[in-house]
Amino acid sequence: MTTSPSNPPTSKDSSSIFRRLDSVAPASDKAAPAGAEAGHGLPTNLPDLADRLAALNVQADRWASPDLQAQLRATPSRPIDTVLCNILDENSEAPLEAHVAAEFAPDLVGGLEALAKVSGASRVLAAIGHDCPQEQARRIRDAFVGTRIVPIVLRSDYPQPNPVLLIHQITRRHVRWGQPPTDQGIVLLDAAAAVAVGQAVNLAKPMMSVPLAIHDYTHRATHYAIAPLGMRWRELLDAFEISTELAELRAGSPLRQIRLSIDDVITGGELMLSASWPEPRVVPDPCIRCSWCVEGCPVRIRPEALLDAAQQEDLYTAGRLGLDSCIECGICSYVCPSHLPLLKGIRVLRKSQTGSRKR
Amino acid sequence: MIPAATRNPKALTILPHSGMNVREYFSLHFQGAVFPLTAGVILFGWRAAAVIMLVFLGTLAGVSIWRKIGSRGAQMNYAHALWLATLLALMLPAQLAANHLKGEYGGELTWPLPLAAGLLLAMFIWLLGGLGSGRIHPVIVTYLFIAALFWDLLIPHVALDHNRLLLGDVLNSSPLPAQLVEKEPWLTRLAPPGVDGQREQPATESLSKYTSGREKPARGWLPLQGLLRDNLPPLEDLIIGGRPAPIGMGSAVAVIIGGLFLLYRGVIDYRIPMIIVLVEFAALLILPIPSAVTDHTQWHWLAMRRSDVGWAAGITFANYEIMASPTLFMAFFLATAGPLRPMARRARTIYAILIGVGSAALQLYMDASVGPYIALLGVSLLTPVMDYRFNPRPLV
Repeated sequence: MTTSPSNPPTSKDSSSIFRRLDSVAPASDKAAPAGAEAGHGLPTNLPDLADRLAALNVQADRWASPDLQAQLRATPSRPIDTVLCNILDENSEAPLEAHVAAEFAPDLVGGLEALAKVSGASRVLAAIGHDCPQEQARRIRDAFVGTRIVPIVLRSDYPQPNPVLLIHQITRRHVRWGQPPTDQGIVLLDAAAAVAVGQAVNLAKPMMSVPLAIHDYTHRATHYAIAPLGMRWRELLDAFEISTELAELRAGSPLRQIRLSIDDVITGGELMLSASWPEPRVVPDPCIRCSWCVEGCPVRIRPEALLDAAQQEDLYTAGRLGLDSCIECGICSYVCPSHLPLLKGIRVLRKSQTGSRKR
Repeated sequence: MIPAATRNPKALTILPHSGMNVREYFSLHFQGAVFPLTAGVILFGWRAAAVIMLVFLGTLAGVSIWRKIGSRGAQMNYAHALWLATLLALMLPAQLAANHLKGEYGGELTWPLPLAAGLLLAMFIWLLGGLGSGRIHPVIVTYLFIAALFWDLLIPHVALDHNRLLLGDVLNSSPLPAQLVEKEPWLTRLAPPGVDGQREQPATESLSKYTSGREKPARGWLPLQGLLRDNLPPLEDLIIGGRPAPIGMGSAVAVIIGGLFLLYRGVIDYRIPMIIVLVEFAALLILPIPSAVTDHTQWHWLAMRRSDVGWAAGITFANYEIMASPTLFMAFFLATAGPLRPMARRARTIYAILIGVGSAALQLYMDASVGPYIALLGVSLLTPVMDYRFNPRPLV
């Protein structure tokens, strides 16, 4: 098969759910002990680990996995005592994290153990969804046998995978949206990030490709791929024969309403994509104070009042109403009978808040 | 995790939205009102259905005109207006659908009144801001407005006999021989031949006259136990149905089932009706009432502690007040309205307590048939303050 940017080489290991769209050979089944084979010792502190990972292009900054570099470089106010791996999937129709964790389990274990060693964490936890496919759950649990990684099975109803809710659910610690979990003594990363850390630390393998999942709502099918960084989404859609004419692309759960352009490139940010028909335009009705947004909000704030504050550009009131606690899950917009742009309003407020802080 | 009051996001198809809209939202409410509405039509006959249709027609006509007036007109929504029309119709008596009235009312035409009430409702919806706006319930304002002008016409006097249901005529009735109320339970008694029901004084009248001191007993002395024994119908008739009442309040069971349906569908908060009823019950036991009406009536706090009243009579009296008055209807269908009630749970608790206490006081000392409405009207004006003062505590 000739290769070109528009026709990347593809290969699919028959046992793997992932279709390789990069030219890199699959990783071996066994990961070397932490820091051994690569000829480098394990770094002794997190900033050094961050440097090593940055040199190998290992990065993760997405909804379910806060900025890894920022976590490792932060000066925590309390010692790190927990490494938490988030294997929950925000969209059960595309259980990417579960598949990544199962397929690259040795690298996952290596990455978590390396992080625990360097940070001095006394416990390593892995949150697994209750709806994790059985085969994948078995493989993950088997990989944890003999290690100090403790699997925790949680109900993965959306938006439980969000770090704020996950940390609160498991440890009862409070981490606000945008605040690094290391402030509360926790390093949190998702399965894909842990695998990348494991491959970087143990095999000195740079992160040049990422695992992705695309749920095609038009055909009700989910496709998994290992795609190179820098590849355009358009090429990815072509590889899976998803029509680019009709597709409305959203990163992560569709509820979060993060639209992507098909000409954007894969950067290693969000790894789960959904493709669906374009949304029809809806004219919102006035707020009827049904309070469904308040009752549905997982962090117990008042989205309808925040929309009011956004319309009046009132940052003070927005702060009183819990703007800093919002995790941008989009449930408020999902349940609103009036089709109000609640999530949009909150994002506008956050932008204004950031702008005013910079000034 | 706090469950959302709608479909599970994991089951969403294509759009990042539940699919719920304003029309469906109010149709859910209407499904809850079907229970008291059906009970009302059965208990009060075809004239009740006529009153409901007249109110609907008036409201639709009014909304179709007022929607075109100003920016407030754009805030009016047909589904919302029809829901409010349903509530208003349930608060009116069935006898209003009359071309002429027999007996003591001397041939007045009353069918334009529900029609006009519907038009008036549309005007108040416009005036008070339309969908989602305002802290004043347009239905309560409309009802009180017409009550102020046509008080006597709004007093229900007849319920159909149990073997004349649905098709009977509430105007085809005869007065009771020499007493105010029929003491025999509705399920066992029979109306005289040739009539469909018996005209009697509604329970709210008897209660209001007694507790407000307006009662003028025939023998110059009426104890509380005498009121309960002689001047009020059996309590089970107020619960099941069969006594004169507004269309939607003839059967407390139907109102409760409708309210439970709304709770089940997640459109109302259980705290509000539960706290209103409990607090009002307690207030009715505590607030001063006469142990006996005489020429020099005295009101007593915690009257059931007196030896001439007793706990049994006190509790029975409170039950009558709750069942006879619009308390249950107000608690489930009016007080839970979005624009009226606060958003935070703590604020809703305080809101419900204030309504319960206010409703009890106004029922006792003003009138049992409008006291709950006026209490709700007053307390709902405090909702913006409660919204400002109480915010939900964020998780983090």
